[in-house]
Amino acid sequence: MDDGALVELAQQGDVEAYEKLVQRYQGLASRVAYLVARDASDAEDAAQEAFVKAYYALDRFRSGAAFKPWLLRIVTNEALNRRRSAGRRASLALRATEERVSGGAAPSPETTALEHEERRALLAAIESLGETDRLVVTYRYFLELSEAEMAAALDIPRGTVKSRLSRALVKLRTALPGEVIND
Amino acid sequence: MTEREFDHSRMENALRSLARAIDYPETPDLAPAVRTRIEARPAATRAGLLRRAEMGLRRAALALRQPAFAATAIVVIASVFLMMSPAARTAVADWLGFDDVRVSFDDPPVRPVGGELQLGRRVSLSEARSAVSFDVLVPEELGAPDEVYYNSFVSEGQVTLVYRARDDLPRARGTRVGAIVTQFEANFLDQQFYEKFVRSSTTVQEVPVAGVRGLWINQSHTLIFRGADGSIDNEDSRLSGPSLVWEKDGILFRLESSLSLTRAVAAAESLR
Repeated sequence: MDDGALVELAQQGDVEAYEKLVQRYQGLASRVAYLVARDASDAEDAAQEAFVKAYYALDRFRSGAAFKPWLLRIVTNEALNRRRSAGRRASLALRATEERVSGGAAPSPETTALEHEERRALLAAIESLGETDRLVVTYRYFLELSEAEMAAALDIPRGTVKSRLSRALVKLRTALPGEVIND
Repeated sequence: MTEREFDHSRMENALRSLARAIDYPETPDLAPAVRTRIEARPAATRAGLLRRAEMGLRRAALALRQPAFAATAIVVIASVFLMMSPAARTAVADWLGFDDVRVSFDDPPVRPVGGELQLGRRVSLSEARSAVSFDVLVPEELGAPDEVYYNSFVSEGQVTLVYRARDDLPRARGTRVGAIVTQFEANFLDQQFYEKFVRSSTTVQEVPVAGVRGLWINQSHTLIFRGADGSIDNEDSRLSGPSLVWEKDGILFRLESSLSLTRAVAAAESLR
């Protein structure tokens, strides 16, 4: 059953239908919550809270709209609230090696693995960005949302998504030490 | 491929590589806890009943839509308001507010802390201008601000100009300064906004400001900062004096002072 049908049932009070949506999106919600809150425990709380709030907000959900970006907005907001109240946060945890892309194919030359230090520097540069820039980078490259999904999740026109993304990339380049990525 | 496109493509590859290295916590099974919480308060799903109440209230609200709202009408709305769900309240407040500022005819949920304005970090006007991506404007009518503050409560940053009380700018009740002018980009994620809680006796008036719609709230009210999901940060609440709020070219402005409506609008229209 697609999202729209489940949302419609949930709007009529079908808790099981909503539970299916939670199961479908809890992975994505947990990831975005972690990327924003940068703390595993806060991320879990934020994701759970977001699902509960989204349920009670279903009345306001526009029929025919996509559920995923709408949910992401709520999750992001919950995670942002927790991060703001927590003050300064540790960086995201990084693996020692990159996860292989599904299928196990070797990375193409264009996606050459970054050295650990480079990853750290890039992560620090991302964390030095303003909230909006950080979010567009997170949505696009970490969560691989499409421009249309980003536009819906951020409630901005698609053209604005492109310009914000481009602006964020320029800022990232400026924030990085000279020898990282830029050479 | 232009140089910028080339740079972007290198950066994009680097970001995708970084994405594969993020060590996410194991995905928790949220469904049971979410279900338990929802089933603990099922009443909020009585959508049909709620929608009918909401529609009725919207119709009543639209019928009352006039340049100034009579206090008695506000009392009626306020009393109905208290019986409604947060969702329905938001729907009615939408009609009166902007995307980022909403007016609720309701008792404030938190006690105003007063005194502390919590405007952020004190900066110079030029520092404020370089900290945000929008043009920081100054009302010519009021002259150069005495103090400037910057904060990042909103993602693109918020700038507040502060004017000390003086002969032509008496001390305002809420802020205890002459005037404050707050401005921030109104489209920031659209996730958070100020919410103004006005007393049922307060008059809220729609007024044109430089060709756009403004709201004039002529008495003290509680100003809080909250997320669209309803979360409220108590620390960010305070008692606000009479305010003029308007949005122009994507920037949300708020002028809080003891100025009359006419002078407040003149100050607002003198922003350069």
